[in-house]
Amino acid sequence: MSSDYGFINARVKGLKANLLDQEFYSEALNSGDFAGFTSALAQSPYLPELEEAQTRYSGIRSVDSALARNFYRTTRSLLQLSDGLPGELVGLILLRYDLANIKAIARAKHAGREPDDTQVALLPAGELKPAVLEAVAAAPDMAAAAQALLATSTPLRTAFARAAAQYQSDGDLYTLEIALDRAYFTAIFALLKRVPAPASFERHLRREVDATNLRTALKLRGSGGADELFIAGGREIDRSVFDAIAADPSPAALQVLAGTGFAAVGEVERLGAAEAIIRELVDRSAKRLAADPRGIGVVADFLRAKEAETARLRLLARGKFYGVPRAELAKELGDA
Amino acid sequence: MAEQIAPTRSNLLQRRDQLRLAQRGVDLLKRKRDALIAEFFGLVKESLAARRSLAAASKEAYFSLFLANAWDGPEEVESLNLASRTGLELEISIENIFGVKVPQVRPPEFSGELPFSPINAGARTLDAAAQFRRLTEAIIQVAATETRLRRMGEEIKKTSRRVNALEQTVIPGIVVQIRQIRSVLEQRALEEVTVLKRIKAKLQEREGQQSEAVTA
Repeated sequence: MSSDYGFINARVKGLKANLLDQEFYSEALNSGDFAGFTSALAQSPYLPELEEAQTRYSGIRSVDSALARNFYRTTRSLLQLSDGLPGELVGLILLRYDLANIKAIARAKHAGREPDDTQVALLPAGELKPAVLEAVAAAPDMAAAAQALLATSTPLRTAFARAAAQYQSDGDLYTLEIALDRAYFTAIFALLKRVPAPASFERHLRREVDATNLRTALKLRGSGGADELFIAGGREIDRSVFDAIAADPSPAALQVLAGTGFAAVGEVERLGAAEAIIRELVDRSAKRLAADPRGIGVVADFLRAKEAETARLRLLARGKFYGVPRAELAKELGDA
Repeated sequence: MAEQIAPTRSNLLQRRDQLRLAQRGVDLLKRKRDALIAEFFGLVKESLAARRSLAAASKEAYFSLFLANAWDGPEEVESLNLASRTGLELEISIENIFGVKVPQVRPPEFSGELPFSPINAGARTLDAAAQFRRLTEAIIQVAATETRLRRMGEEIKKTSRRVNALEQTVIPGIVVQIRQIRSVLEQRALEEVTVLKRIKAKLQEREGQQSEAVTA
């Protein structure tokens, strides 16, 4: 463990060198079928996880399991090698996985699902370890799950406990999730206030807040914005832009994005296409951040690259498994 | 085995009434069958259109799920799936088309409200969920149209069977019965005439003998 960015970033660059190159994607894309794809994957750094997964699952599930396991090991190694301020910032970057896992557990409790049903919805890539998540998921109800989470140090624990107590009286999952989402951003900005994070990293996080608000507004189009859905702290997507997009489903409403860094989003109609553009813009922001070799940006950029690689591999695996035409798959892969 | 009936005039009149009724029934049933067939072909067009919509909606939905699983990840898709409670309530009413009771299924109205927070929810997954709502509507539309089509088809077959039964069994049977009764009644009438003629001849013969005796 080290709090020295030089050491951490050197290790992260080592991990980055293991990312798959364009040659792999070309080979995988040209493979005739799913078996060809898995053979190509078996010749990559994913071999140990793939072999492990193939003993338990077959088909798509084996690839999904291998990718999830590999991603988990990657984030775990990032958490293990960093300490002090860099450690806190890595934890902050990975907090969204904890948020996603807590929300998955809350959804399962709300719908009265069995703990086993929840397992497939968990990706323990954050600070909360798999055993902890299993214990929280095994709780009989929402209040017990919140109680189990209080034993951890996640910044979301108090918000979950409060929201679970409220849930006991109103049974409203939506309100509970909003409380968790807001607690996530509150935790981010609280940490940024507390620790001397580089200004470039703060700018990147604000860019992510903008991206989140824009995504939310696009999802709400035509139904109007709501106070609780707007996250303060962004730089370009303010409340008026958020409301204008959320209120009006017509393409003209997206003109409010002109002059912002997200102007390209105004040129597409479908949510999926807009999502691809927003992701690319945030990726670019992370790349700029990585220019500083003695900052957290190298980790942030690597994680985004790793996420994109995982998404591409899932796409290729499915494409080959279901026999999606090569041209269509190549087009989708270009968007990944 | 043919029904044994008494060859009486009242039975003849009754059978003639039955024949008229059967012929009118055949006429009505044929008109009903024609109307049902016209309705059936209208429904066939509707059903084919519904099938095409289903195929298109299915392709879109599964492809968007494919993309959601790839980009948002299977964990995110499963997570959002956990939030939704299963089950769908449908409103079904019964419509009467030419005496055929067919179910009328009203397409479900999906609430635009999300049961979970849209913040951080996978855009591709939400897109896939919207596509699957359209697919559900298309499935229900196909189920409704094809159920109506099947009911109409069954009714057309039933009506055709009734027409055939009347035309080929009931009406010929009544005609035979009428013919038999009429034949018996005609034979009886002929016999009566012969008897009357013989009586008349006998009476005339007797009258002749009496007049001869008086003259002698």
